[in-house]
Amino acid sequence: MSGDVIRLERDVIRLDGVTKTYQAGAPPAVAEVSMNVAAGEVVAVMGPSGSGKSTLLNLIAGLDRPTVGRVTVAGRRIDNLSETALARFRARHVGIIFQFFNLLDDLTVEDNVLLPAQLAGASRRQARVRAGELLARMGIDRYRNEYPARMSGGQRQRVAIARALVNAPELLLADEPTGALDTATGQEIGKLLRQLNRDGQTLVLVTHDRALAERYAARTVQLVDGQLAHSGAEVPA
Amino acid sequence: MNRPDVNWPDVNWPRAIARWLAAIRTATGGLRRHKLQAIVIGMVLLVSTASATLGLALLAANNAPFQHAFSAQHGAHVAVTVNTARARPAALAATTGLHGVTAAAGPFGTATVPTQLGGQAFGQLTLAGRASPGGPVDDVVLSAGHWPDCPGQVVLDGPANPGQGGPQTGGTLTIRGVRGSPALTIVGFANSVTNTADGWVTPGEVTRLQGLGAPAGAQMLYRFASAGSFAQIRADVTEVSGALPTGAVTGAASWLSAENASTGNGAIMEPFVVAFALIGLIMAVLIVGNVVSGAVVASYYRIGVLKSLGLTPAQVMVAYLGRIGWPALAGCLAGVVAGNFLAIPVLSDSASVYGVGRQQVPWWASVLAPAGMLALTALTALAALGPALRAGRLSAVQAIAAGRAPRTGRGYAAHRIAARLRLPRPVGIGLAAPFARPARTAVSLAAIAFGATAVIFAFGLNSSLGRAAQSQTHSATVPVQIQQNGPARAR
Ligand SMILES: Nc1ncnc2c1ncn2[C@@H]1O[C@H](COP(=O)(O)OP(=O)(O)OP(=O)(O)O)[C@@H](O)[C@H]1O
Ligand SMILES: [Mg+2]
Repeated sequence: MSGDVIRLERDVIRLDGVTKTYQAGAPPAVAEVSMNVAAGEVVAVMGPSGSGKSTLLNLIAGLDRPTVGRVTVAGRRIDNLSETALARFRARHVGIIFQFFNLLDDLTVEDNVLLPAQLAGASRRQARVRAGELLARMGIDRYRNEYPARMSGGQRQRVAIARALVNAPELLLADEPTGALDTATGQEIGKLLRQLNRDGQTLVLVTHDRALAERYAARTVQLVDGQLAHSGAEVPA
Repeated sequence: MNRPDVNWPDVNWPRAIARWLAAIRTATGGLRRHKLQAIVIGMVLLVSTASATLGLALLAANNAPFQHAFSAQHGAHVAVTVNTARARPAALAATTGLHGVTAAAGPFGTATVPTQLGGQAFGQLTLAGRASPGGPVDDVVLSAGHWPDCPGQVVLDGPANPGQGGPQTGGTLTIRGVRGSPALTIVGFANSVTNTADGWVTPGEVTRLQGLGAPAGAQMLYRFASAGSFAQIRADVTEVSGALPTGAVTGAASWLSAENASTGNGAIMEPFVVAFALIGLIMAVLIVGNVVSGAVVASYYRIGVLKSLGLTPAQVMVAYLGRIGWPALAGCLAGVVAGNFLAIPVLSDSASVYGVGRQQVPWWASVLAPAGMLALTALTALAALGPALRAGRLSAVQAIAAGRAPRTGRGYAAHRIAARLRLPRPVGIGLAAPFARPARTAVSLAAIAFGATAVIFAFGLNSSLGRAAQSQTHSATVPVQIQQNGPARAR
């Protein structure tokens, strides 16, 4: 740990002794996890069901707060932010992709994608331009006025990725992004994520899929009962 | 950094607010896709607001209109009938200076005569001679036509158009029992809150009728410093008759009897009216609370997603209130308007039941509209605010989870018991489901119970009230006739 200051600037994520206990008395869902993720890195988080992967991701995303420990993301300490400040932080600095897409079914594809940009302060016109670019990049711009309920799983996940990227977040988080997709579609989404990383996107990926993790992630982190068990080979980004 | 360059430029605050709102508009943009929900919320609020407004109207109408009219008209605490042969006008005038008297009017000559209307007997009427309806005591309210300005004209006490076969403006009232059976033209209708007379003519007309053989008499109208009970009124009347020669006072009518007579019908209705009003109000609150909190629960998943995208708690609240709020507000406003329209006939009915003239209706109607509106808007806002606040505080992760699958564990015991009853599976699930949300189930049950009570009430009320009113009318007419005939027979 010679260049501590330099590391701070390079690290998009920094966890210091993070513990999350949902109910007093119950074993923690995440226990004393410390880890760093550097800018431009792809890290896969693996582990058995109930080992705390989603919990860890939610803590990094600012969707939840740790019981103990510090969470620093994109250079900001977020474990002590207010709800409102956390919401603003989420809107600007992280993009999240979920297993079940979490699209708003009563909004068009375009509105789904541009909403976070509007939340981050873009005008509707600016947000539409940006959404159009991203939908084109995901290969689904012809669906921009459709409603998500009429699209396939793979297409919906592309909408969700476009939505997560609309504010060009420092960090992209994905919780089992291929979990609800068939193998072929899952691989397409995997390739898309790898391409994003090649373009410089920092990415943390929770997955059950060992193949996906090995093929696309430079580093793998194992969680067992909420604790870091083992880190895979670290390849410089 | 190789992060693509997307930085939304900072703008001045009016534009920042515009963008804040634009984001919320996008987030709620699905309103058009939720027409049914909007219509249901709007209709529920319309109906419950209308019934609550009607309830408020009934409560308001029931709120002592006699007292209101009595003080507005400076009603007479006591109307004293005097024998003018024994009491000189100067002696009568002297009574106005008595210790307990705060205001007095008269003497007004009276003629108590049998009458006919359109060839039919119209009963014995006491006609008082007054040059004008106003005065310091018993400020009579003219509800139609004009005050008699020459002999041969009469204004009758009562509602303006009592209906088929009743007296009408321009009709002719024939005076019987006096020489020549003179005819009087009905020129208007008026109301005296304490019913000091059955009709009013010019003072000259009274003198003429007395000259033709009508029993002579006069009335003095008093207000006293203390006249709250029958005992106090007895003392007041004793003081007046003590100041006059013996036998001068032939009768005295107190305002308390008038109050009893005029609120008689209202007294029967009062508990029903209050019950209806309360049912309306309680149902409105229950239903609004239930619908709004139901809408929150239904949108848990959505709220969770919006939060995960970065909507702040305040934005979630505004977005949520916007979505529920517009149809709710529209329903509320329409309900207040509808409630007021429904209330107008009820109010005018109640005003005529109380026999206190028409001046009540515009007064209440004008107060009711804004008051009802305010009360119900506040009510709805309160009912909606709780769930909206909860929506704002909800954790995104939990909201998404709760929205996707119903919470497990809740009502689990009930489900297990239902399963053991060997009922068909759907019945078992249906029986146990309410236990998963006991509070909402209780609220729904209460609303249904109140609704059923109201319906039963409405059916029962009609017949029983009709019967009760009938018996009231019979018992009420008897003392009136005795009072009118008593003094004439005695002297
Ligand atoms: N909101 C919550 N309240 C209480 N306990 C929770 C909550 N969320 C998760 N847990 C518990 O925390 C532990 C870790 O859950 P988590 O969802 O992080 O696991 P996971 O590794 O993502 O599992 P999976 O692979 O099944 O998604 C589990 O024991 C779970 O029951
Ligand atoms: Mg998980």
